[in-house]
Amino acid sequence: MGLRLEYIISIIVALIFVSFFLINIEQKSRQKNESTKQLAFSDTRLIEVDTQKILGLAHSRYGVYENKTLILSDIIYHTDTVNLLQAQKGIYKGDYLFLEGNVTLNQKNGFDYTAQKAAYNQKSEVLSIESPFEAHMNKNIISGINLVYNMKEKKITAQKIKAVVFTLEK
Amino acid sequence: DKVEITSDAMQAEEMKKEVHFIGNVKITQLKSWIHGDRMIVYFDDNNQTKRYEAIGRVTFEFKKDNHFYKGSANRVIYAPLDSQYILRGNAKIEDMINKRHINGEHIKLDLTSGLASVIGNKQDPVKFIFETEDTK
Repeated sequence: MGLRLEYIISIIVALIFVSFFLINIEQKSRQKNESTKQLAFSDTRLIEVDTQKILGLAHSRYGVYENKTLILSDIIYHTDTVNLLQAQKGIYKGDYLFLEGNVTLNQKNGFDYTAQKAAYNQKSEVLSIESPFEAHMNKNIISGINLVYNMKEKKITAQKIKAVVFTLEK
Repeated sequence: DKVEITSDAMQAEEMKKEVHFIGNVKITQLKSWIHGDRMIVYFDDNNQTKRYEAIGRVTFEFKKDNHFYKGSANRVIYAPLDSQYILRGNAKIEDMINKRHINGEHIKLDLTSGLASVIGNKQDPVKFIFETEDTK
């Protein structure tokens, strides 16, 4: 009865081949993982500088530097002209800081602004909101479909406006 | 009181307590409304609105208690605290209740008392039209 010798040998050879390939595959997948995530950090304060001045100060709960892109979670961002800019996610790309999720801008004076997406150009110091936004100052509310905030000139322009303001009457 | 404003665009300056609403501006408060090309809303230190200034092809309807006025002007300034409207430039007001019509260069209207003071100029004297009842 028993198994013929040739069958046993061919099974063993097949096993050897398979194990040889397996080792190779495993190594490749580990390397791939490591090359994308070069740096990960948590509860971090990032200070961005250029040769002249501090460009921006960012606090973040968790951050990753991956494929030459810095991605920060729960970012709190300041500069000398931006009092307080917050978002669930901040992505640095070139001169831009792209913000996503509950973006809020609080300046010392005037309205506070909220939106779901925004992009801040660190070089021109201009915040652009290309989606619906709301601006609050006490009970006064202004909403629109897009907004540009020039931090240097402290000027705001926006489109398609609906506002509710409150007034004291005699 | 709540005031609603719609416009094509808006401009503001962080340091200045004013907001400029630009293009097709409509401001509504209860049953009164003002239309114009541009509206500047001025805020006081408590961030309450203290003055509204409508500029350019301004038309309006003011309704309060038993007063009802319609009219137009180049510029209309509304001071809510005094419940006063100041109309400047080619100002016209129709008192829809008492059937009176006033033209002038500068008209000040107190919506609480219903009193209006009018200033004309050489080219454009004050014009006051009112209906009288026929004596039998």
